[in-house]
Amino acid sequence: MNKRADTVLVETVIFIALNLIFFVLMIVFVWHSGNSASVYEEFYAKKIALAIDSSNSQTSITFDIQKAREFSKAEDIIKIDSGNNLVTVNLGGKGYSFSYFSDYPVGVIINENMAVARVGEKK
Amino acid sequence: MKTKKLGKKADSKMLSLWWIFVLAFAGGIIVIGVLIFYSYEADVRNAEASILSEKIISCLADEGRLNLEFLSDDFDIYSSCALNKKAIDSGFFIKIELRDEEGNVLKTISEGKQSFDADCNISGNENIRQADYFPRCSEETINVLQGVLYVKAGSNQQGVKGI
Repeated sequence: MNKRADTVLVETVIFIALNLIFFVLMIVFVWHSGNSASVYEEFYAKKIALAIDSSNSQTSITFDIQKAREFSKAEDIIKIDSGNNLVTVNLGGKGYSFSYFSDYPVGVIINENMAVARVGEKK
Repeated sequence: MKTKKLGKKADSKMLSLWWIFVLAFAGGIIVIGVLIFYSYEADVRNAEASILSEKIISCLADEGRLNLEFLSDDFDIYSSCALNKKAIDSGFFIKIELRDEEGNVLKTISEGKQSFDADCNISGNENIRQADYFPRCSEETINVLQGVLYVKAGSNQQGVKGI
């Protein structure tokens, strides 16, 4: 009788543990998918490109890149190619590029958790 | 009595197998759903079109006065409004019209992807959803001393994954 009770208890515990492991794995997967480098690469590239498009010449735009820094500490995570009007963000994923239509030369300086884009005079 | 016990054990095993199948199915659906959700990109085309039309308006009109360069034959929208021709041609559309009070078009300029002009008119409403691959557009009108300045801007720019 005790043996049977023990067996049922062990089976129930294993059943609950496996279910818990499954749900924890699912939650980790969903959380990881939403916080992957590729999601933030797209987010920052589009945000920076739209900010450049909206700005006038001789403007400095400061971006908080604290979240990007969690993925990469490299100095060249944000590149702005003024020749091809392209913002490229690489946080260790595949990288993401987005173009802007403004014809001002733009440079970017990365300082700790801040990125400063400087929009110059007309080309 | 023994057969009954065996039956219960077999039921329990069947239930476990069934439960594993249910979990695998639910897990598969969640994984597929999440992958599909995150494969879609944030759509900023409306914002881009709006920024472009506002930029052109602020470049061509200042406090109700039209930039008179616009009326000259050799007017270049790219150099006047600091727009990059290569970028505009790759995924944008601009249409500018100066109209008199009766609505007659006095001058018109059209740049970028010309097919967007018609595509912009096929707009979605509560019954029809606009196709994802159609451009998103913005229209602005401003009164100036010389008449009415109408600007239509469209964007269908897609970002590029991978460097």
